[in-house]
Amino acid sequence: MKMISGMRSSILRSAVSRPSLSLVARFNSTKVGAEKSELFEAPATMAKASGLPNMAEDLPPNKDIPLSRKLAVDPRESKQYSQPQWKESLGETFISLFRVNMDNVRSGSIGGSKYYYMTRDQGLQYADEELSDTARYWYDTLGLPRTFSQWFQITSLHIWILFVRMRAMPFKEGKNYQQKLVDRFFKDMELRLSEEMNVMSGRIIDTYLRDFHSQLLGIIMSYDEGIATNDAVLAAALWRNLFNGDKSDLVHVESALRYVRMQLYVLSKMSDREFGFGDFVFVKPDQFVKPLTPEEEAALKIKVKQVYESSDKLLPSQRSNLSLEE
Amino acid sequence: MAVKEKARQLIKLLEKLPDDRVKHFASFKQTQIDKFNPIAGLQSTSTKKRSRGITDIVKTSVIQTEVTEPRPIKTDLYTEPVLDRQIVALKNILNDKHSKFYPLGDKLLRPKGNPNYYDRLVDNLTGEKKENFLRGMWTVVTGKY
Repeated sequence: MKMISGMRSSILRSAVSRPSLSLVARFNSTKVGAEKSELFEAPATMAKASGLPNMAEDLPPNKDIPLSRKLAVDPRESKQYSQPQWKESLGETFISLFRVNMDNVRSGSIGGSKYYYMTRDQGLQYADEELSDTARYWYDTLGLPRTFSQWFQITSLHIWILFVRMRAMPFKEGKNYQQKLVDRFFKDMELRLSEEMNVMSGRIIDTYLRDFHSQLLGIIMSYDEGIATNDAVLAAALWRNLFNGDKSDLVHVESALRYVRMQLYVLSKMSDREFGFGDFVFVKPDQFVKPLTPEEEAALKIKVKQVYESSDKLLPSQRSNLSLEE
Repeated sequence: MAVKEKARQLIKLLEKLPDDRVKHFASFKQTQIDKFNPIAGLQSTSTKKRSRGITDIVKTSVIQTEVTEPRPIKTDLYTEPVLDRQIVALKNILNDKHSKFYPLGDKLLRPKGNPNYYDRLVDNLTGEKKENFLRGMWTVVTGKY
């Protein structure tokens, strides 16, 4: 078990430090102000242009968590973690000898770890801690309440965004990634409720988790209906869930809609291999994505192949059956 | 006067929003119409009582004995430029501006892991193709759509 865990850490680290296929460069995603056209507006800029102030008295009291209670990240999952060379070599030998299905292992290290942390961090906030760029968009620009329940909504939205792409992977791999991501989400929520929110009763935590599970099913169904139909349905689903069905600035709803569409577009242009190897990052709300021309798309595919098939001999842990074409 | 006109224009656009296929605790369309009615100087068209959401249940059990009506809207905040921006936002939503600008294509909408996923979901929601218990169980067991 320890060896598999070490392998996971190694994969996670290699995914993090991969030569950049950064979406910022690939999709000409640019900080606002570079383009004047309305179509090239970042969601955050769009929301700020509303002219309607966030009405503080309409919001529930902020119940953000003290920084002292913040859960520590497992050291093996941190970006700085490196393991001894001999452990890596032993892991590679083990994979090679037992023909370990690396796409399966990767679903845990990428889907259940790297992607989970990405979704979790989008709306994560603590008292007396400066908000991240993305968190500032949700809490300051859109004026959403700083509560655990709101964090759940923001995280669920990002998990659903990843789900849409995972569904487009081969059936078995897609299911694995989805399962690992959700398992980790609920495991983390359980920990956060007990350690950070200080809920002492296991029974109450179970009740909350069951409630959050039902909510997640509803959220996924509503957002899926939105992308399968039209923007109006997706906007209504965002308003009901993300905006808690009571905040009602239409410009803010449109801004969130644009944010979601932007992420999904980037995901639609990634191959299974890139996504499965953890090369996706969420575009920040203060950036916009410029759609690719057919020529740029073709050039991108060539570049991706160069990166993934450049070395003559791949390490056993880098092997994958995931497609580079689609 | 111009503000009233703008608000009426906005309400006309809001009426074009599709109705919810599934009944939810709050309707985006109706809530927005109710919000802009006072600005447009119109009577509320909502005849049904607001359904009780989780917050209402908590309010009644913990803080108050009755469900309070939503706080009256601050009409003075809705100036002409603000309403103009709201109208533009709503038009963009109704015209599918963002889904046209960022098309998803068949890759995501007919996913190879679950090609019929979205068709089946919409068919079930619209009630066009109701599925029987056995078909549902088959999905639960195999995970395939």
